[in-house]
Amino acid sequence: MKNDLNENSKVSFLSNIKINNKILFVCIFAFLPSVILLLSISVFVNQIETDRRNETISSMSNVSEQYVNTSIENIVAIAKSVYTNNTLYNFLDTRYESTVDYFDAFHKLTENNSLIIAENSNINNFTIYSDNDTILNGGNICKLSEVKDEEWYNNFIKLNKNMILYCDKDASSLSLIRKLDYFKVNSGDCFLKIDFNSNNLQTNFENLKFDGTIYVTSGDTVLYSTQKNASEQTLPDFSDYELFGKNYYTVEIQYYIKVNKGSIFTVLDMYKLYSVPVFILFAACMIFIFKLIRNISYRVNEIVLSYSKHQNFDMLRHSNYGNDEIGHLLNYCLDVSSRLKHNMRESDKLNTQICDYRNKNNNLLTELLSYEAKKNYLYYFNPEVMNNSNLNRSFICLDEEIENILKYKEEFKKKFNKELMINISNNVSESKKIYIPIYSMLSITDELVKRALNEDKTPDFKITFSDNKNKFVITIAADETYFSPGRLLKLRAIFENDSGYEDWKYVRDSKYNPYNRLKHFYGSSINLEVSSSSNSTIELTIDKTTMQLIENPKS
Amino acid sequence: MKKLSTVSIAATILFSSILCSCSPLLRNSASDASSNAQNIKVFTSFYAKPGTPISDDNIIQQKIAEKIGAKCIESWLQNGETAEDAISKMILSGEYPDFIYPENTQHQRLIDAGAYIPIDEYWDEYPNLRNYFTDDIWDKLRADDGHIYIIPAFSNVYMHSTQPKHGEEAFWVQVKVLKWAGYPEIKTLDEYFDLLDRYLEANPTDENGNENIGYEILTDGYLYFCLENPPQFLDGYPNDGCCIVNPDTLEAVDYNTTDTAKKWFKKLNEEFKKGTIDSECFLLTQDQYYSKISSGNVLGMADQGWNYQIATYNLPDECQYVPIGVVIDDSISPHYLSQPTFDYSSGLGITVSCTDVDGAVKFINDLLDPEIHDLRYWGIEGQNYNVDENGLFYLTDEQYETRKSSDYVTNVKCEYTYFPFYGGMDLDGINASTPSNQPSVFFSQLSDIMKECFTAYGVQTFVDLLNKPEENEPWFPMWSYSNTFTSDTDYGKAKEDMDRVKHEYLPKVVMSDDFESSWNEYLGVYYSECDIDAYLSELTAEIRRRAGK
Repeated sequence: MKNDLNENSKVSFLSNIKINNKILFVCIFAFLPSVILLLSISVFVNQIETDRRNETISSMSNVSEQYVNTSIENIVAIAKSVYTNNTLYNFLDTRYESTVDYFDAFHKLTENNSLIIAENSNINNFTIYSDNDTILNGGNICKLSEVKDEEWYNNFIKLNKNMILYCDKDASSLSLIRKLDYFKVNSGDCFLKIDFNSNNLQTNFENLKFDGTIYVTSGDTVLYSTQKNASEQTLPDFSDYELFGKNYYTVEIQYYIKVNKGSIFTVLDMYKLYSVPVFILFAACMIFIFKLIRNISYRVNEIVLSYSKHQNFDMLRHSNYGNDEIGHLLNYCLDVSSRLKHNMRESDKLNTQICDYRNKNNNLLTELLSYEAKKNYLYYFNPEVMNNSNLNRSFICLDEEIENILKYKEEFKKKFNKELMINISNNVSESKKIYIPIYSMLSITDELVKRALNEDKTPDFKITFSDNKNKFVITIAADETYFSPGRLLKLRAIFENDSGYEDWKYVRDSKYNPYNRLKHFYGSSINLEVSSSSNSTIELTIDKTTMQLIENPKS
Repeated sequence: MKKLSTVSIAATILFSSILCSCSPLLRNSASDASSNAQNIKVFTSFYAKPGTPISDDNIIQQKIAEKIGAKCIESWLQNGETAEDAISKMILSGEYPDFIYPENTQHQRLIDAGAYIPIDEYWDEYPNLRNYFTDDIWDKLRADDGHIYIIPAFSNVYMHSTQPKHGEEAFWVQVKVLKWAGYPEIKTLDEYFDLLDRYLEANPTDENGNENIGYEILTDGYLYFCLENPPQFLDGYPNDGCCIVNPDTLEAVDYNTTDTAKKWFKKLNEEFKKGTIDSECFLLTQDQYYSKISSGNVLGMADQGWNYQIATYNLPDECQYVPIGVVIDDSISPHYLSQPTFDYSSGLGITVSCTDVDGAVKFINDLLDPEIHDLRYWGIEGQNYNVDENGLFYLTDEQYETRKSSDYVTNVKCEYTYFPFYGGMDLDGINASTPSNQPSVFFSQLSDIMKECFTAYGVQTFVDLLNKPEENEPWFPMWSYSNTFTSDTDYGKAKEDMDRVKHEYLPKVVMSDDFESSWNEYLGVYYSECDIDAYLSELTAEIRRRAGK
């Protein structure tokens, strides 16, 4: 029992949280593990990324060195082929008598296989410089005298090596320079200068699709960079680059490598075979959860909002709120609502009928009262008097009622030739605004007259109407015969509240009793007071407010 | 069972949800591609020439794309790549760009490889393309199977040529030489070299002390036409390139051995001995030749304008070159200027790799629309050019300068140069098709010394200095045929042998101390090693075929 109470209190607490907040909690609790999972993955990914970068730097340094090595060794091999070319030495060693002789020899030289092979895509230009003053500039041959002031030549002489690499800072390119001394040349020194085709190196690097930056430099000269126009710009700060260097034939070449920091997407890309389906599934689940809870929230909020706005479920009747429990609940609500409406309409109909019956009853009662009064009076009065009265009216103003009493008095005199000693005193300020049940005072007068006549007495009594601010007072003063103790008991019983009046008020004889009628119409607003000094005077005090209500009885 | 069914439903819902959540992505990516910039189709093209790609967001390319709903990403030869290598790779892989414009020697290889789609099967609804050439010309472009695979882009001149510069072969001389000589009238070869000799004698060096070179000759590779083909011009024949055509007999004549050829080489021999001709000329590579031209010390040469002009961009105004129509004697009318030649040997083709052939044909058709044509060559009205009250297009100084900037070339201009276009007049019949050919624009931008020179000779443009072009003969130019020769045929082999012998012997003839013996030696080798008859017979047959005989 105690557990049930606890459970109920928990349910109550949860039930009181608004659905949007519930959804927020669901989202948080659904996404929180995902976020934790993602954070864990990101830590894992970071580790993978670090390893990847280290591996990439390592492999790129190997590949870069390999490319440059290969490029240089290709040129060295070409240089060696030219270096050992006997035909070339013969060409360079010959002293030419004429330009025709030279052209002839030159033309033959251009058909030499070694020199044709030398002109491949690894090379931008290769030139043989000779001190032979009978040669002409043109093609791959040039007079040495024209370049003796150039830096590459002086550098070569200064280093005093057989073969060097030279870095041309202006052209940002490498050249291989080799003295041609494989065979003795009598015509003077000869040199081979081969300019590297840096495009070749660039193409090789670009094919790597490397995600990072590489600078291949010789001192301040950029030989290759993944950065466009790097040779035209100031060298960057290499502090975050991995550096290694190597000396190639007197030229120191540095490799600066930096791998771009990868994002989670880099790693996802690495494992895309697995990560893409998992990511899609994860995203789909998240979307599904979101859509699911949003669907619930949407429908509940829609129903609540619609009801708040229209105070009924009618607007929802034509909407589709699904076929789940929410939909069913809504359908139940709609059914209950329909039944309630139906019952309400039935109740309204019945109420209307009751009102009709009440009205009819009242009308009948009024009619009966009228007939009863008429019947009683017919005994004494000319029926025409009563016919001229408006019997259909339930209420009548005080003036008219007094006038009816006065007519009654005249009729009585005409009929019985006897003066009735009835004194009517009207002290009411606005008696036209005082309404009383029709013939009520006339009936009392008639009853007083009949009781006096039955006792063989001359009817002698006084009826006074007076009022103050709140009360309308009817004072009836008659002899003891009329207000005998038994009679007063009955009258008191009629006007006492909670007296059991309701039990006997429809007793046929009582219905036409004017006192009953007064009590019936004024209810608790009418009081009966009997004069303490004498039992022959009674006062009927009526609350004016009630009379004003009765002023227009139809309302 | 009920649980199983619930699980199945849940799984189905989850799967559906995945599909629902994924499908918008798929739809988005598809719609992104298709709706990208209002569903613009993107084609690709390759031209077997070096070139500079324009930027991806090129303004006029985008403008054209908005109007016709398509654009083309163009690519050229890469660094160090040869046209032959590039085409070979494509043929081997069987993968081509949508459009391709090969060199003439590669064109037949592509046809043989089945790389093209027949354009004539798709053009019925595209009148701009269908009417780009007359039926006669289209018929000449038909391959052996009767289909048309290529559209030569550089051969259609609307109304008449408006080219103010001479891009073809001529004898050229620096304008300062003409000014020094008082703008003399030069007609013959002797007068031309006399002018150079006199100037060189008077001005052996320039103001910086560098030696002037009277006459330069380029003989590197196929560019040795500078040495070997002037005899055809000196005899007043147009540039058929591979032969002279006798219009009466419709026979091909070998210009290498005519009397005029002998006179030409004798003259060169004389000038070489005088030192007017550069003693190193026969050893020069193309780059070394350009280097000499760009030094400003070369006074004159015979060359194609399109070849050497790249070396003149940085020359001072007085070192710029003027073309002269030199002939061997006064009795001959020069014929250096021809109506634009029709190059049947190559053109733009749509490849079998193109997945939207109809769209590709429509793209070509739309590029020939007058409005698009103006966009291609003039640009956007009000921004890149203006129009006066007479409908004449003109450029402000600012617009002219802007056009020369690399930014304009890369980010604004989009001519689709290798797609069909109209040279000569604009399609409105009022203006030139390109700003550079608009006379008012051209003359206003000349240097003072060039204006002075033109005024002295009473001309307005460079081409006015040469002969008025006559209607081309039906066989012209024959080089468009000889360029398709391969060594598989006897006449193709003959052509190769002729090239080889001329390359070796003509320099010797020019440099020889004994011209006559060298000339005879040359002729001896020439006739003994080259099957001239096979070569000339094939050309004659083609001449007569083109002439309809």
